[in-house]
Amino acid sequence: MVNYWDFRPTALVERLDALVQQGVTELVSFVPWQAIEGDIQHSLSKFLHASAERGLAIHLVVSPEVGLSAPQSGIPKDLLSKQEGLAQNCDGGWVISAAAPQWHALPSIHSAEFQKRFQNYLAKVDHVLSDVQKRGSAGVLDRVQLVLTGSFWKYYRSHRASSLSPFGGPAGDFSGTVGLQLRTKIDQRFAQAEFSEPNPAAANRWKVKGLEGVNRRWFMQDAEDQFRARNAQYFGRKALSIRVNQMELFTPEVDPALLYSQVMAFSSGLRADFSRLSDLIDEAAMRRTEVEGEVAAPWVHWTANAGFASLLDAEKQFLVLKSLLLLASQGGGVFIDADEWFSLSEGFRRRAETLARTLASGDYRLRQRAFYLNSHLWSSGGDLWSELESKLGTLSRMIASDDLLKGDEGLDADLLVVDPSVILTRNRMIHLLSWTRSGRVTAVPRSLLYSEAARTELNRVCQSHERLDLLMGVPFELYPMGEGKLLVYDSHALEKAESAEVAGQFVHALLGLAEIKAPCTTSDSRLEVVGLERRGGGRGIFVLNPSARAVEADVLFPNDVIVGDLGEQLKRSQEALLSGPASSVSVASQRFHLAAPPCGVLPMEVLDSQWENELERRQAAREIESTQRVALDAAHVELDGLTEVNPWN
Amino acid sequence: MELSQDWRKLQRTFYPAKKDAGSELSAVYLVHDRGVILTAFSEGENLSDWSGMTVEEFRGQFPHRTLAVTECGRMENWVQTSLAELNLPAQVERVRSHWAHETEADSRNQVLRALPSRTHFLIDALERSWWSRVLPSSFALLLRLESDSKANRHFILVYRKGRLEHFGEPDLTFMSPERRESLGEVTRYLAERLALPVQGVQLLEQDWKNWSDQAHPWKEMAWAIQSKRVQLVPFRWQCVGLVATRGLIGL
Repeated sequence: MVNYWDFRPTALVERLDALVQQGVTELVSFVPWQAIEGDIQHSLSKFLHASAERGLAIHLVVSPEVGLSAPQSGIPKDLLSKQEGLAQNCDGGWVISAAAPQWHALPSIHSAEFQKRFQNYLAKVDHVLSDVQKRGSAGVLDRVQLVLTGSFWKYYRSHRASSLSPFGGPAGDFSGTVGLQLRTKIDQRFAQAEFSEPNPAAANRWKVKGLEGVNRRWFMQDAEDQFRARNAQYFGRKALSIRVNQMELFTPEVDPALLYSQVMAFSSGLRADFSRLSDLIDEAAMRRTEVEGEVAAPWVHWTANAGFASLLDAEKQFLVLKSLLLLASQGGGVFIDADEWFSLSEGFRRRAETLARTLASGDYRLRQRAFYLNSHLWSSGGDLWSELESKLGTLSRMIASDDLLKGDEGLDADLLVVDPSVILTRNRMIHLLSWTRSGRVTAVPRSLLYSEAARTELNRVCQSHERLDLLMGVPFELYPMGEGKLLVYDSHALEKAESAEVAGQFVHALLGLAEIKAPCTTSDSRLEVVGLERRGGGRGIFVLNPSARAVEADVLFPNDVIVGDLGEQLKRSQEALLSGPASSVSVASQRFHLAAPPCGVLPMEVLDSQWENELERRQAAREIESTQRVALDAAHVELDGLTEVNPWN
Repeated sequence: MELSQDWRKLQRTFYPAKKDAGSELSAVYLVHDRGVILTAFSEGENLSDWSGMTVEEFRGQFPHRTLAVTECGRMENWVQTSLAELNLPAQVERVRSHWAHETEADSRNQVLRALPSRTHFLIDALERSWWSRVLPSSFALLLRLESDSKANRHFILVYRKGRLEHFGEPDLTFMSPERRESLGEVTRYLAERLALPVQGVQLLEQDWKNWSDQAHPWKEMAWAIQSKRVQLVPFRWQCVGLVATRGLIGL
């Protein structure tokens, strides 16, 4: 990460030359409002030309973000000067970004002033790039990509609730600006035919005060989705020959969960809260966003303006490796300030680059085994999500759109839990049922948040299948549907119980039904495990020790496995990595003893034939499903009047 | 856009990062909401399991630790009021001041122990000593740090109306390399550009690092000025007097 506006033109050229000499081939730079609106020196254009001359690929982040080294993260001062233009969290306080060069509040994206200024900003970016394309040297933009991110939405959270649990409590902007927009949107949404059945008066039941929390969550998610879609369309429509990438960029150092400790660290001159930063990477890895049906890959940004820079080198290295393991293995990665990166040892940088290249090539992937469909991605998922998260860790994914079940993403998972706050429409219901039929387990709540058509659809399916009434913490109905299973759980009983134990029993039952188990566990809870699946068979298990002390513990596998030294393998070429056997292997066992140094990451290659067989069986089932889906899609196209086919009923 | 407040370089120049892992029993900072801990923080320790427990439980478990306890609403107010300040050092100072003064008397001593003075000796003298009454309200201080192994570094602090307004590396790109070598030329150039009196101080980077670790290195500095290890450009007797008064008389 090298921000072109941090440098004077001559210094920038020197910096680029130095980076090229150090072997850098790609750079990322933010394009903050202040920099683009007052760019009388044409710095962006000069930066793009200078980079093109040096053969550097450039990624320009053109969404407003926090944690930038520009004053107020580059947000125009006048947007932050009026209190009514600032976002408020559910506690009524401002959302603060505690990073250098200044702490500042976040503006409300909903405010009319923000929207107007933002459109001007987009137009200015477009103008500058068009100008470079028309008048600049040929090919200047050939290696330039625009990056659109999720902006401030994920940071609109309570500092208090987030301190107790990183994404705890209701997220969203609670400022006065939002109130009126919320009411209008609610009226528009529930005027749709689906919510007016069986009679128009039925729409009123969705607008009652008791459902305000549910509606607010939906509204926040919808507003974010629309903001992102509009930005994508803006650059999509333009004649610019620049590729646009969607990313979910997360800067843990300015997250509301870190505010108090960050303020305390700044005030006392101490190092930042390393353990909390480490926990926030998990949170980034466990949430999946999409823009117009496409996955926005998760990325983490480590800055030089806040907590990261204050950490010890060993802690920084740990965070970089952990971010790579959890995010690059999902198609994302890490943005790191160039000064911070080059302050780390050359040996470490080489190891991290090797790992990053291996993960970027897709040789190792972090697969999700369970989805949790929530009404708002950045709000609390309640007890069920907490239990799923604690039992599966980074194998679970929170999503806010069932579109993510359609693509390759959806093929991997075996379980879907629907949060009680999700409004279920007929289309969504059909989609969930179709996903369930191909060997998955889906748990939907028995709640009041069904449209009439969705309830009819559910009842129709339930009546045509055998029903089992069970109680595992929460009472639920189980309907075997072909290879899959549908569970209808009593969400009121869950709410009434107000006990994590009840939710825990239920989630345990769900994981059992979906045959999901963690790839391995450790005998010491201080250690963390990241399990990646290797293309062509085998797994990479990374044991992470985030503590400041060495930890000796056992790693426990569900089956007998053979363990090899993955670190040794990663040093070899990628080709050899895929074909070659582990360099040193153990005897088959379920338990291995290891000593993890402080902030250490221990890679292991694991050969587990039982796990492989299981994986193959599951993949075969998925392929059958995929084939069936293609056939169905073809039937929809070819056969006029075919509106619905449920051949496995 | 020229960066006028370079926090990174301020930190690097005035508060170089500590590379040790810290002592075992450092102070613990607790932020609570009606007695329930939201954040428990201590350098190099993982206290995240304490979120959700009570302050009293924490006190019971660690009776001998220095605790700086504050209520979350209060801390949010301090941070919100600090946003009016121009830059991060001033914002941090405002929060520290609120914290030290608004804490109840019975726990104030603990808070003062937990908030060690992290003010640099030079900034402390410029902003919080009697110097601020005799110095002009607007001026700039240019440091040139010399090193055998690397190029000389410049760092400028610009005060206007008694407040630190800009800090960072000055833009000297319009000066020829030969002119940049002369500190006198550099201070003259910056004085013209900023329309302010600029005091240049040239010293060895190693001396600067050693003094930055101390709360009161003025005596060494005064002797260094006399022995010409530290050079003031332009040479002003008034500045020598200020350093000597702090170093030799201790004021």
